[in-house]
Amino acid sequence: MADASTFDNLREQQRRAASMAQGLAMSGVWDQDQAAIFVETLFGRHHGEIYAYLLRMLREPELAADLTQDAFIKAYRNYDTLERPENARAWLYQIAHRVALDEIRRRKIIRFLPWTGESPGSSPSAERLVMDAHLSGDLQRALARIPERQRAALLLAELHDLTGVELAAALGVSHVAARALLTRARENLRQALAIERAADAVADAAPAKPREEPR
Amino acid sequence: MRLRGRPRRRPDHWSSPHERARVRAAERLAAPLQADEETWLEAHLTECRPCRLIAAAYATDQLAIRLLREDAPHPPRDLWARTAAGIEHESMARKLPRRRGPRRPGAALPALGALSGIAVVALVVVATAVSGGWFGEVGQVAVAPTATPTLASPGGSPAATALAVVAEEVHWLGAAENGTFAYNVADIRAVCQKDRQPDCAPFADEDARRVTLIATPRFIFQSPIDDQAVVVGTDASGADAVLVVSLPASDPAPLQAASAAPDASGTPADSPIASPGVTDAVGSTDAPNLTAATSDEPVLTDEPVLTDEPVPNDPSTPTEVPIGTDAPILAPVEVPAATLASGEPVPSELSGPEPSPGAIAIITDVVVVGRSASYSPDGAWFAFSARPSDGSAGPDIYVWHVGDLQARALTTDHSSVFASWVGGIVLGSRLSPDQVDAAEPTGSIPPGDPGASAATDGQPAGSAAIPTPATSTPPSPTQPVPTADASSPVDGAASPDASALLEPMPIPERMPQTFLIDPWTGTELPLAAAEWQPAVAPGGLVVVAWQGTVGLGPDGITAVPLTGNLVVHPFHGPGEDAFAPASPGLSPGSSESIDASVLPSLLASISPTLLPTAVVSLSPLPPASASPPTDTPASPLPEVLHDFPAQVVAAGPIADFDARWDDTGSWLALWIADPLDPGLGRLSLLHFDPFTGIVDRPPGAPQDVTALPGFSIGFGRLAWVSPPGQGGEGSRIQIAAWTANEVGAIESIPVEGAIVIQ
Repeated sequence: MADASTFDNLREQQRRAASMAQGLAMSGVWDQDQAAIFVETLFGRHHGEIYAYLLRMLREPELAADLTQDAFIKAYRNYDTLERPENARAWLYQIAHRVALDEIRRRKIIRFLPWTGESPGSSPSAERLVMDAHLSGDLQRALARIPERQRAALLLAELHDLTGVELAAALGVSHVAARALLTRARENLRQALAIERAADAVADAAPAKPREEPR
Repeated sequence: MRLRGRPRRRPDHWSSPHERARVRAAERLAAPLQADEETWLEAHLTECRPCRLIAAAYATDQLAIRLLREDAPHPPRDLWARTAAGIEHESMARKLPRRRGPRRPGAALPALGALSGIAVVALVVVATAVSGGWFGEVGQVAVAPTATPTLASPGGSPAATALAVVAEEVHWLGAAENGTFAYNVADIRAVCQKDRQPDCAPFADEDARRVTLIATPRFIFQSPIDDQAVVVGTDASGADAVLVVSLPASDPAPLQAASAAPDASGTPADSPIASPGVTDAVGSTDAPNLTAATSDEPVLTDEPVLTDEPVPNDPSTPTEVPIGTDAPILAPVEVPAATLASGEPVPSELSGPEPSPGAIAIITDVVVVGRSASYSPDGAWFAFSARPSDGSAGPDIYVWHVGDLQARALTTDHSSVFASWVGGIVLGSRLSPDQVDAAEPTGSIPPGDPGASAATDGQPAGSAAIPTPATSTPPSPTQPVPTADASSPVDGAASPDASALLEPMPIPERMPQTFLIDPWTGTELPLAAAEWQPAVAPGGLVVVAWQGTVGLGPDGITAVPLTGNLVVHPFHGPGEDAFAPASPGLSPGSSESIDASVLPSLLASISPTLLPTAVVSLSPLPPASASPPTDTPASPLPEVLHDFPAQVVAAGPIADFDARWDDTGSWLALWIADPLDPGLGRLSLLHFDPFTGIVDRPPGAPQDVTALPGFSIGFGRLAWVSPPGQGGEGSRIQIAAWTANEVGAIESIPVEGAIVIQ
């Protein structure tokens, strides 16, 4: 059971970390311990959204957690490449985006079934059911149907509020290319949603056979 | 083999007008189109029903995606522990080779010796030069830490240590000669702690730029992404006009303190606030400036990145201003006097007098209501509340999209006000049509007796309740707004009836309604929470809102808070809380729930022109005095809390308020109008800890300081204007700036007619 002093300590710890990060940004002096504190601060601020982004890109909670961890470790490894701390969020998204694309690329080479912690024939866990609820719906399925770079562009722009410049940086393309990607993504999403709704209509007519979700 | 690449399509070449329309309809969701292209698109969509449906589908899909953010998944609780272990492993892997690595023979020690020798010689030379002798007085030389700026004292006394901060620039306007204004910029680098204020000399902007502005400005809002600003000003007729202007973007022309009285206490050179170069000054925005970063930051991108959102024909695009001239940078168009017979606000047309470069009037003949107007986080929209200046109707929410020539109304019920932005979606509130049960207390406007309304229980009305919960006294059923314009201090036209000043006037109390509305399509989502003017923090974790009843103010058309409290509590979206299909007569707070995943398909299935049929909830209100959460986070760094007890930050009754969060969503500035003089108020800076859910008042942060309306909170700092002092001295720009664990302050030299640019 935590008491008030526990929370005071935690808050003080967070403040110290943020202060050090701010001080580091001012002084330009870095070392590994300071980098760890900086990444810890970034983690506190952004791990939720990075996890959400990776989950929506990959649709597997455990994998998204693993890749979130990878993204922050890579941030730690490359912390000295971030010169402007105000860009840290876009920088993190860029790392997360690359981690996600690497994973998707790897999956295209090696197909495997995700391990969900359940033995064959058992009922899905409560956590899995909650996650399925997050990831279900024809919009999510339609997002999964469109090319991953377009999906990333839509998620980053509309869901994670990246500006045009941040989006271009995160995707590693020019501003013009990012906008074109976004335009194509909207059209493909519209078409994918139409397919999903048509499939829903068919499924409603014959509910016995479950429809396979796109990966 | 492909010998020649496919010829690139010319920008004006389309396979069909429908393809062009589809692409443009998608593009304008991300950035405004050029005016001619927008006009063409609208014309095409009017004639082409399939294209119109596709454009509507794009907008609906966009809204559906944005609403997914309210259904954010929670990462596993052990994620930090795993990540920390990974970082530790990485750290060890990096350290070990360094420890075990062979030292280059004969390299390190001679280098160290040489450096030591150089350092000793340098120290001796410097010490001799400073002390005027050999070693005799070295001990008296004060050596300031290099990391901490020092302030030179005007009297030549030893320098004092200031608190170094990294904060966003502060921009403000002051009165200059001949009715012009001085546009000032301050770059805050250091402030002084509360007990060291004399160490910080008052600052001034030596490079202030003289500008002209025909309308009398009352509030100015700067775009988060460029040098554009929206000015709420009063024209010669006394009505409000909302103008879009371009802020100075070139080298400032020196202004010899035209806006400031001479100050004997210190010179600008003494100030720890440096006036930056113009490029720096105007380039500072709320949004991260990746354009500047990418040039020297190969990790972000290998390609050159264009500046965000260039709109070639945008009349608000910053224009070049000759250096050293009195260019009318802020000059707006003259306000057309046309008014519809119904008294509806008149969106301004450019067919009137020729506008000055870089300025348009997006609406005229209105009274801007409330204080919540603001740009959207991406800078693409500006939202505000306004009503006709003739008082013929109540307020509606208006939005203006960058590049448009006029603002347009999002609501038409004449009882809605803009509250805040939730990402790119407008959050508004309105009066419910039904009165609160007659058994409940009814508000009233008491007579204008200052003694009677100055305080309740010996405490000023609206005083904040953090961290002293005892101040959250039972709300008074009366509304101490005795003076004119209680509904909106921005509202200069309203005045109470004389009889209202003689005896209390009962005000029927109503519950507020809250709703989301898409600025593109007008699609509206009613929320279950009954709150007034909720201000959601960036990130959507937390919201501050008036929880209680509201009623019509003395003017009979604009709403004012009546009985209740200002409360900070979690902002919950669908899937985390009640999410119920709306039904006629559904009472606020109903928890008739459906699955959150239905929302996207629900939205996708409706026409953008129809009201949606879903309700989302902000949050039920836990007891205000509830204790902090008691579960112990497993990781060294606690996770952000998505649920925490609500906390009263100001107990009612209050006349009016303005609550704004900084970009991190951790700092909240709260201005509460004085019950006797709504043109004056008290400002507090609160800190919200996302890891504990606790709102507190950090030591040194301004608390209930007297402030004029209109403050600016940005990264690392809060700026406001103090009222004019005695003896004819002007107002001062006050700045509080903070690091992670300290708050300091500094003020300007006196400034006549100061307005902080928000």
